[in-house]
Amino acid sequence: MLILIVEDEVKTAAFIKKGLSEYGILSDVAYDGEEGLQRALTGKYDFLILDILLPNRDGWSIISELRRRRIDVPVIMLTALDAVPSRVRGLESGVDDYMVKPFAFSELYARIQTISRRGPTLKQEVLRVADLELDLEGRRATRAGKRLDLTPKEFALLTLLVRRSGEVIPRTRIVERIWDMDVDSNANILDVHMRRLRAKVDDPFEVKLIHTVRGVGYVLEERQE
Amino acid sequence: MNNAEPVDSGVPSRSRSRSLTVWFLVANSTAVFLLFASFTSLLYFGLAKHLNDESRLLLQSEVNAVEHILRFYPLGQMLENEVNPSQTSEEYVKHYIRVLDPAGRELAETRGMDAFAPAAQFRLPPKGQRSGTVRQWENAAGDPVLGTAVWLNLGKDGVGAVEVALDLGNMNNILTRFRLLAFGAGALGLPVCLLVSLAIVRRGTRSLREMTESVRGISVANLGARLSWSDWPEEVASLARVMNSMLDRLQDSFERLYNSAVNLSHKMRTPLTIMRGEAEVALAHERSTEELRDVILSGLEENDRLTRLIENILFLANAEIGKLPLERREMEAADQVEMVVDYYEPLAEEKGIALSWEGAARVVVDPALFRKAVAALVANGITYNHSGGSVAVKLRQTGDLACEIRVMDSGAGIPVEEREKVFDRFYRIYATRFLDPHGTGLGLPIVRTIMNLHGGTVALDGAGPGTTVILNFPAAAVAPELFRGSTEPMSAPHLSAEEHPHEVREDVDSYC
Repeated sequence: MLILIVEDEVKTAAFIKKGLSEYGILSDVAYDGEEGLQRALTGKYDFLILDILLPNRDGWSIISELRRRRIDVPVIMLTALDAVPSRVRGLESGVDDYMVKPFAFSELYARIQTISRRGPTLKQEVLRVADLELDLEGRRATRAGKRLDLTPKEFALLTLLVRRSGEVIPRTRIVERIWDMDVDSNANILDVHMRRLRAKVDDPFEVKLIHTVRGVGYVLEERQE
Repeated sequence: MNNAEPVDSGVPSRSRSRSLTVWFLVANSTAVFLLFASFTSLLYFGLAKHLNDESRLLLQSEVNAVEHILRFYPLGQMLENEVNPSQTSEEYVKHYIRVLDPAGRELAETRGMDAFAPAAQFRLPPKGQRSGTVRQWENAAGDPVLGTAVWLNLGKDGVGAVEVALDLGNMNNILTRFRLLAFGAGALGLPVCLLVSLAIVRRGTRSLREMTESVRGISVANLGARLSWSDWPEEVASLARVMNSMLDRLQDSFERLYNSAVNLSHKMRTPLTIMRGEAEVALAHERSTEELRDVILSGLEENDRLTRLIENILFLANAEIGKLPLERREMEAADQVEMVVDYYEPLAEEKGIALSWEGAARVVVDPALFRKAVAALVANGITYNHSGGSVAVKLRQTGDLACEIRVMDSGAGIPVEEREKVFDRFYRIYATRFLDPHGTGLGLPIVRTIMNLHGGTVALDGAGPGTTVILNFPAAAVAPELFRGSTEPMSAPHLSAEEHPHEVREDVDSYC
């Protein structure tokens, strides 16, 4: 995957580029709007990360120019925290998603993944990671053939982690997804929930699947050590 | 309708504004002058008519007198006395008489009449027609003359004629002098009238000019200054009172804004100091990867704190100026409370606190904000509590779609003297702040803001032990179906919802 980052703030562009390369994704950076548009018009990019306020040409005009020329590359817009214009909210301008600054890189990556995966996806009924098995229809979880006794919320939490297996899911995103809560508490309640889930999923077994990524979130994967 | 739009500056351009002073001067002077002119003209024309009538009567009476004398005392001393009275010079309106026989020969004549009104200037009417016309003319010397010529009926002795002339010079002088005086008064009066008007209007607008000066002097540096209206006229004083109360509100907002900025920078200083300090210390020597990782992680945590702080501040600021779109819909409050309790339950259990809820109520609220408010109270209840304590949420329907929510805890409680202050931004109770060292002091202000957005109230109840917070959500004034999927513009009496009807209907669920 080749991504074009159009961002005039050098440090921001650099950490996005570096972060993406960690996941093996190549990216180019354009520091002004006109250059960004010219590069995007070549059609060789699979994804665009676009700032709104840019020198020479703003993000809006880049998008409308691209869409006018029928270049349907997916776009994630970066906006300031205080101004999420209704245009972006409605995503009516041809933007696929938006990120509010300051944002977590893991969040940006998660959204890139989500958008790239869009389109026809097979609805899997049974998810598997190592010896963990989730039967989505029967709402049953088993590990090494043993049934796990989970509450509905715990099942939802585990499903989220298994679906995105191998991907670090940011804490705020987990809370948003599972409890639909806008967290504003320093008490790290999510840790308590995760501890409970781990007690059921990991504690009785030798191989641990749920891992904490400190300062970011959680990931479920089978790790060889 | 949308106060987010740039507001017109409201200052009219210089060319469009008319001066009150000039307007009053012109209007007042014109009115006074027109009054004076019509009054004087009326007087003048009345006087002129009166004098004219009097002169004609006098002329007629002279004719009658001559006829009378000739009929009874033909050509004697009596006629001579009438024609040449002894003291003619004393007369105000001097009269001249000429008596003619039927052939037109002169029988008697006032002295000097030949010079004043020669016979040629009279026109006798045709014989048999007694009265002649009264005419006015100017003689050779330019004097105004009123004269007439009449055939006399003298009985059996036959007929004769008389010519009578009046010298109108004195009378015209009266009118001329009157005119002069009137024009003089007008010419002098107009400037006087303008001056007096100017004085009146200057006096009348003095308070306005003083107000302008006072208001000009008010700036951010002395927002406490007020207009002193006590010796201004009532109309201006009431404007001044209104402006003073506007200044009160401005000052209040400004002070709160300033305090917010001060508090905010203070709050930001702590995480910034930590981040900077840890980074500097880490860079001072060679560090192991593990040590560096800890520094970076700690930096991330501080970064999270800053981000949350900014989000909360922005939430409050947007709510305050009505920029926060509400997405109200009808729902079961218990479901929302259950979600919150579900989230906090493990934490409560870990701290040994019994978290429970009961009751049911249907409400029309913004679900995310509703949960945010309840969550803030539940979190406080758990945080400022002790092991073995309890937090209970009680729902009660208080009316059609109106509900009361009580969040009761057995915790530290809020002293009576702190009960208003805890709703101030950043305020934290000193005695219990150690229970949540990273608290922002924004929880209850956000709860109050959410309640305001819903037109509801938040109150702290009664005496301890513990704290009881009561949220009152009023019934929405609009039928619930309007809150969702309707194409009708919202007409709820709610500020924010009214101002953003389009955003209320926006569906943002699809991309969160």
